[in-house]
Amino acid sequence: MNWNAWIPLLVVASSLLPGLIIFRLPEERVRTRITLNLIGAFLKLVLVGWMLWGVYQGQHFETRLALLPDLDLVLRAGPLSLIFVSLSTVLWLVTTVYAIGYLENSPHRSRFFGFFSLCVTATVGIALSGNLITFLIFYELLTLSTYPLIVHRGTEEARRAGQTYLAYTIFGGALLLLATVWLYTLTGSLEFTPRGFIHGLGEEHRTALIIIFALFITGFGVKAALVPLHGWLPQAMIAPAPVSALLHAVAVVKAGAFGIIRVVYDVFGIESAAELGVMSPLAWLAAVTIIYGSLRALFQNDLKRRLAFSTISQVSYITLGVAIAGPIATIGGVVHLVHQGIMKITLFFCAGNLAETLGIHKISEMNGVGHRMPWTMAAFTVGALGMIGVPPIAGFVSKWYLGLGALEVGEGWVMFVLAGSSLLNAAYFLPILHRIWFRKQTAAWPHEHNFGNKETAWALLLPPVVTALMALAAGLVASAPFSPLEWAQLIAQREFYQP
Amino acid sequence: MSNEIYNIFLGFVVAWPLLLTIPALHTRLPWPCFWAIFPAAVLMILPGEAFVAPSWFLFGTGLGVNSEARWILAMTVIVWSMTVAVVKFSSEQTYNFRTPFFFLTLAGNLGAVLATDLVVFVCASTLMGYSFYGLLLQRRNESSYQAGKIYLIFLIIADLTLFDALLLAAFETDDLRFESVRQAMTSTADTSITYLWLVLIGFGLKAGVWPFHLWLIETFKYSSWPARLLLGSVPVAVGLLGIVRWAPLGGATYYIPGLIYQGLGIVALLYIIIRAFSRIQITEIPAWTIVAVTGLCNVALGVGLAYPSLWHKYQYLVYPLIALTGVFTMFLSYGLSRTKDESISSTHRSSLNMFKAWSENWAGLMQQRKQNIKTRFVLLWGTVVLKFKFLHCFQKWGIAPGVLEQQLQYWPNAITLFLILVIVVALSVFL
Repeated sequence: MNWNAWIPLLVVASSLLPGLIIFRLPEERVRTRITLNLIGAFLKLVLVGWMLWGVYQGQHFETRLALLPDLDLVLRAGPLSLIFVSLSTVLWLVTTVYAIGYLENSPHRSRFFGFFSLCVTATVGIALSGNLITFLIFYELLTLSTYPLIVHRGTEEARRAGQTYLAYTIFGGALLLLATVWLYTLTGSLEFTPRGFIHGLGEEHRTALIIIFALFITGFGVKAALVPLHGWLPQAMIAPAPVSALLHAVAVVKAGAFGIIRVVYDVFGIESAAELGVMSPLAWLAAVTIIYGSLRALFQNDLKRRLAFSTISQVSYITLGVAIAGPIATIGGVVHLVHQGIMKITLFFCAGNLAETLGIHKISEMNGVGHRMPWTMAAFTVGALGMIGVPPIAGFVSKWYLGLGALEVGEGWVMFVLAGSSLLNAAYFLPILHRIWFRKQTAAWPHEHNFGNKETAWALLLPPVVTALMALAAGLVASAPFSPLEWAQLIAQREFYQP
Repeated sequence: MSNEIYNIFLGFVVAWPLLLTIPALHTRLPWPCFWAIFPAAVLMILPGEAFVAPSWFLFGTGLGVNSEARWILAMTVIVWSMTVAVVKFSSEQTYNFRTPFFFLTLAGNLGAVLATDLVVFVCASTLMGYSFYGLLLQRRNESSYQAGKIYLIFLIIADLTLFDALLLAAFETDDLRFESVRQAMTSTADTSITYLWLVLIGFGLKAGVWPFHLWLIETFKYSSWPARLLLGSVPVAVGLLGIVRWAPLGGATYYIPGLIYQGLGIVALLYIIIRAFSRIQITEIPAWTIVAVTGLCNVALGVGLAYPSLWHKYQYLVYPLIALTGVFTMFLSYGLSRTKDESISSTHRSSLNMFKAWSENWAGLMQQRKQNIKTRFVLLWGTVVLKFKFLHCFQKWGIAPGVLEQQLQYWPNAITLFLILVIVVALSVFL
């Protein structure tokens, strides 16, 4: 029996099955729920580790199930899918631990963790998809499974945010479906192929291909929060902190960015996309989003909203790296998929800790909080400095490769976008760091919970510290085997150098 | 000592202060600040050269020590030891919230001194720069916050400029060791001019070289004892070291940049002379001395850029001179600092008293001398202006630098200036 053919399916099932069981669990079965969650997360971690090792050794992992005539449901592990799967798996484990601590004693936990597991299932499915139809199925599943998480609190504001989210994402999904069907009628294939599968189409389909590309980018651009399709993201901040962390670092925006990567590399192919002349507009769109997101972040007093606009800016680095269309920029874009995830989840965990422990939601309330919560704020500092691109934290490595990649292909203007964005990042993150470490506490904390002599609960403290260390390690040992950078180099090699 | 142990020890010199940042460790150790410097002191006296570059670390970058680095290492050890001896950062028994910044700054400083390539240098100097901000703000009052803000703005712009320089270097060569970059830049004329200017501006900002000296004066005025003592050796000396190590000195001839740099140095000295007779307070003298010294360094570097043969002939003097600058400015700051700071340890009060009489006498002497010279200068200037009426306009121009300095304290103005700089650089690159 060829086990390798079943591993991708098992990876998807490792969160799907616990999720389905958790839905049926009564609220009071706390231990069972935690055990199921953690078993699923660890099992997924082991399976992904196995696949990583296997792909590194040159093994092939593919599950193929008949779906429609001529269209299969394909789950396949390659370097590109594994980098996203690994990110989702590791951060899911950490977020699960965090969510257990965060939602302790709150209602509807079975519902929350059930959808939480479904959300990760969809993300892993997106990552492992071997063709566009599989991708679309999991992409829509992700939309449907995140909606209940956004409206989890049940308030009027949460419902409005949820409706906005649904309106945006369903519109995006419809465009994707249209683009997929149109492409299928032209090519007769939807199978992801290194360097794309549209080579054979003649010049007469040029306009159609440009429109299809635009439809794909608009469709994925909704979840990737490209300007002007970003409106849902700041509103979705009403969701609980673990959900925000999941939206920004693991699942939703990453799914959009990953979709853009797939379309450019494995549907159109870099060369064909460049010939169509669609890469430069994409790069400019990404650049505008980077600067716009940073500028909007500058003026937010709500911590989570500032982080949300920061995400809009930072995720577009991935798109920019892809659109520059050079091997080194590809490394920068792909590695930022992981690095941004680790850094941003750290920041959201810290924001959640502040809200949960001290009732702090606004930046103006953060004076002197570093003295009260030193470990949480140390993690926040690492995340924020990494976002600015301060060496040797993970963000520096991404910006290094993006800048170098831009120089490589003669797109010098990208250097100024990177410099301007870093300057703006510094302008909206450093004042926060100044407040938390150097300002004196001016008023009582808005709503302080007592955790004895600890700064907060262990389940809340451990995840941000772990992810902050990961962000530091991703920069410091960037050249180590199995590091995100090494995987990104593998992907670039496959895309640009392999015959 | 075998080579392997020597190499491990080299890494330990930088890693040890970083480890001591953990409160659980440094609060349990007696005299943690001295212990943090101790491995560096040992390395300073160990004979021979060492180099360590693990392939997994950053982009395969490393640390090393040779005779040149030893000069700067000696300066670092002396300055930090003196600072610890004189100033009470934290008592050995109680935990001080600022202590981690002390260890982080020290680790960054040692990393920059021992760096053998651009990446480690930029990482270490960035760590040093941001941690030093924590030391600058030890007083926690509005004036020090304002001074810290200006420092931070300059630091960020410097880091961005150096990041671009780093990318240009990486674009030209895969090997980012100082010597390799120097050679690569010598052979590529187009890139090397842009690279050179980025390096000069980036490290000029970091070292407080005129006309980027504003942060230096402000931080010196409003920061606490440790920061004042470290100012000359931590950001300034490391900035000068950065120029010497990064710039392609001694290779190709950079006549125009060399000439401009010499001109800047001379203007800096003239500027300080003019300021000396008008608005300098006695406590600012060390800061202005640093600006004067960096102005002199500008002249020397400008000569080196314009005449590579002269650089080759006298380059052996550069490292001892940078080391002397750091040590000299620390002693000057110590001697002239008349502020009774609460952070001075009572246990070191006696040693301070010894210096106090000397410093106050010296300060008084300087103040008296300055008043005399100022009176004579004003009389002389008045006579000259009476003779030549058109000189009135120069008096108005005299306030221009002060106004500019005030304007730079505002974020929007600083960002606008930076964007203008970016546009100018962009135009010069693309046109």
